[in-house]
Amino acid sequence: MGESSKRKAREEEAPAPPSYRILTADELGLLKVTEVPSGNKWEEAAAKQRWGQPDKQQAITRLQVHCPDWEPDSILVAAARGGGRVTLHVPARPVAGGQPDLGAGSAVEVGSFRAAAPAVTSGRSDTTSHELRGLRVVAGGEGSYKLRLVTCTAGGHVAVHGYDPQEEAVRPGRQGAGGGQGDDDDDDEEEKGATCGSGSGGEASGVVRTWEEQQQRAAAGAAYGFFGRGRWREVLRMQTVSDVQDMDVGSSGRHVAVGGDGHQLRVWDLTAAASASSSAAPEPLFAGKAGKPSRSGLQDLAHVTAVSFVPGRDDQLVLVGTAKHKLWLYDMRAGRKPQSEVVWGEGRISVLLPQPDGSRVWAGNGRGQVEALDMRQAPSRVSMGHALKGSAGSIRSLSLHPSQPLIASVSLDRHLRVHSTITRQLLTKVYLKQALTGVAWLPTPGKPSAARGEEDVGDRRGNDITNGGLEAENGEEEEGNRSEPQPEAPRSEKKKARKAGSENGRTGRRRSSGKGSHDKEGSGKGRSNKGDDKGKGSGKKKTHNRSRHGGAGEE
Amino acid sequence: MVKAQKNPKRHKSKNCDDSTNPSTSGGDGDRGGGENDAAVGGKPSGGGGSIGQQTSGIRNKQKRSELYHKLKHQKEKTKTKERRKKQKEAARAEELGLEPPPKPVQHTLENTREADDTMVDPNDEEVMADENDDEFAAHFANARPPKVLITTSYKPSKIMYTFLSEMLELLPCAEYYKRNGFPMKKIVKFAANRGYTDLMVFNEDRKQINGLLLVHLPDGPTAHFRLSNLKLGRDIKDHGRSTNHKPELILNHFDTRLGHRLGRMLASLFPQDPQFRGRRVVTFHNQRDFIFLRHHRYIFEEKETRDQAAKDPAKAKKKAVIARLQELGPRFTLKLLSLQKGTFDSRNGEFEWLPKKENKTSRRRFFL
Repeated sequence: MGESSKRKAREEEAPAPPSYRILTADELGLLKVTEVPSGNKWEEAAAKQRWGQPDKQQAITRLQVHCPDWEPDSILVAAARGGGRVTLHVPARPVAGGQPDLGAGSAVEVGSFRAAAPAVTSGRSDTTSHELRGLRVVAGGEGSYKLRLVTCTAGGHVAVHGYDPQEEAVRPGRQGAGGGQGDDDDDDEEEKGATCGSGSGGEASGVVRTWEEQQQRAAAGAAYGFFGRGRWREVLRMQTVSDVQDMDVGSSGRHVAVGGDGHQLRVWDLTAAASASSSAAPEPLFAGKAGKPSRSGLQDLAHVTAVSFVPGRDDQLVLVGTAKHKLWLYDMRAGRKPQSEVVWGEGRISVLLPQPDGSRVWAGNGRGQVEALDMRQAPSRVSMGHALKGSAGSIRSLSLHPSQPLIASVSLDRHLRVHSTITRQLLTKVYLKQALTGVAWLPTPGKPSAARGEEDVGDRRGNDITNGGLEAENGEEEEGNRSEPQPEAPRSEKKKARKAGSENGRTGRRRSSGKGSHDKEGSGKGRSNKGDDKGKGSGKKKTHNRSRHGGAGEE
Repeated sequence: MVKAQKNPKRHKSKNCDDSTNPSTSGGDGDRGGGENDAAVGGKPSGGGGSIGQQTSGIRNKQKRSELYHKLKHQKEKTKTKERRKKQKEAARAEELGLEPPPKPVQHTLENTREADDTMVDPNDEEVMADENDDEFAAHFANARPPKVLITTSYKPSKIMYTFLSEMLELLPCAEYYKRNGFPMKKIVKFAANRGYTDLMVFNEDRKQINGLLLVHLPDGPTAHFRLSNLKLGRDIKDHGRSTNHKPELILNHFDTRLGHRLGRMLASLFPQDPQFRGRRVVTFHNQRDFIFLRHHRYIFEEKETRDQAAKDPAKAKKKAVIARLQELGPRFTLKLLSLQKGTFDSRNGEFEWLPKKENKTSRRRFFL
């Protein structure tokens, strides 16, 4: 079972919480938290915490942060590790006198599961196909699980694990079915299998949990907040194409798009696959074709390296980046060939990150270039622009801040860079010693009392900044399935009042989503949620708010 | 246009002068010269830049040259005066047995280098953990002896063959195979299948050897270098002949993370167990992002040195052990053009490092 070791940060009694926190994952399996000191002191950004021990076998290939309320208390970090495992972490907090302070640095692993295909034959030695190539956190959606993790291995095996927030019933012993994944916890073999953590809920994923572990788990759950308490059950497994390079899940959680070396884009419908329940591989909902051949008649070999659904279009538009520096925009309703094609840069497209309102898609390539694809008039006209300079190595991951116009990029040259999306300026560059593979924004803790007032202020500021043009989104627009838990009345009034002025749409949506909700928040974390983070574009940081406080008017 | 042709230097320097020394800008040369004269009476080129820049605004050639020589003479005088003063102080301090006054530190490009945040600390735990398991770990653990395959670009010339013969003497575990028109990716595959650990491809263009592609196999990084200043061993005066002993390896100044990785890559070309009896050493010296390769035979000798300044004749002769070097084999300079993460795939691959214009912020910034 992965390393659940943490290294406590030396916690200075820093009076002011940091402006921003960014989580990065690297090839040694370390999760590092980089903090920008309060007051937006970008030049002093430095890595402050390190979770995990360096171990190449635990190399993280994908990172997703799920933070529905943009609260430091309810963060779930999912890391896809070498061997096909997915480990889930929750930042720990020393529960002291009821004042949770997430500044203390450590993370507890609250679960892990194996996402790789079940080993049909034992003694299987080829494990490269177990490496995880896609990991997405899907919130909401229909079905009994409010939070699901969709993973895809290099061998094309897509697995959906749902999170069941009930307290885990104590049960020793294993459920008979699904012995296939058996032996997992100890997995340190090459296998990229994620052991299906806590739940062997009678589904195909039996994992033995010893009594002690279960107790530990229960204890962890109690101490470490909401995400520690439930368990992950496997919902669905299915086989897609054979050599996958990237995977994305539609915003509704229904569709999964997959592309790889030798395969064009294919999209499956997860609900249909779930209901099919036959052992045969389900048919893809949509299979794309290649774009037009070049002027000399040559057609590129199919090699899809990045896939992304364009949000806001009801899962019909998919953007695909190929190894031959082309971007193809598919419309599933319109036809199998791409609607538009953009040739950009040199080198394979390695990351595609859409802005939550679907107006722009940021693309990073293997040569360190990052540019944004303007989708406002797609598919008739798409154009690239807005280059962010500075990276010397291949871009591995991008992450947008949910409310601020900031984009964090992480590359093989071992640096984390944060740019402003409006001015394209490089705000900070932090050397993080390892080849980095994943990045996500984290919410920052703040003093709860002050935080209230500040959040509003900050929020408004956030609106002001981001109101112009393309930045008008702000994480919240995402499939706002997440809802706010009963916000405390006075605060919500205040917030609504302020918000009403600035962004009607946003508030409206949030309010509406307020209904439907969520027993998740049961524990009465009454803080209003800031950002509905579907986790798709990675957790976004709202710390801006926190920074406003304390120094009132510091800047 | 005509103006520009007539006296481009003067025109440009006038602009220069505008900013540096307003008293000599344009207009009346005489007056400007006079003012300048008074202004710089005591202090040589205080704020005016070089003497040439100060005087170039004066149009009258005679006046200009007078002023120029005057300033030059003043500069020389002050310089010698300073030097004499320093020498006297040093001598006095030595006589009295005190410490001589400290010499001012010379600013070189190396010591004014822009600080790089990726400098490797030898005790860094994370770097050690990373290197324990990187592509070269097997070599440094003596588990994988090096086996290098050398090949060339298409249609090499005779110069390439003579160079290759010297390279084969330099690298103890190297073999040559002719290119025969195979595409690069196929060669990588063949070499990996045959168990080679490294592949070196030398590129030649119009009888000049100008590139080196170093691919670590089976899936290691690919480094592309520009090769310059090549001098074959046979063209070096008093050169020696190489032997079959395994050489020692010296890697200098590979300080940053990128440099460290590159240093390991170069070290993995050579076997880990040098034969000291052969007294052969290969040096990769990195300075200002250029890697200089030298190949020497060394010998330690005792030599008497005479200390002329010492008053005591008995102390005059000192014995010191020095190393004398004889250059063998080729010497050349390499400059890293790109470092790619997988094997050779320049179009679709992922790069670990590429030189970017926006990163070359100053003349004092180096990446290795």
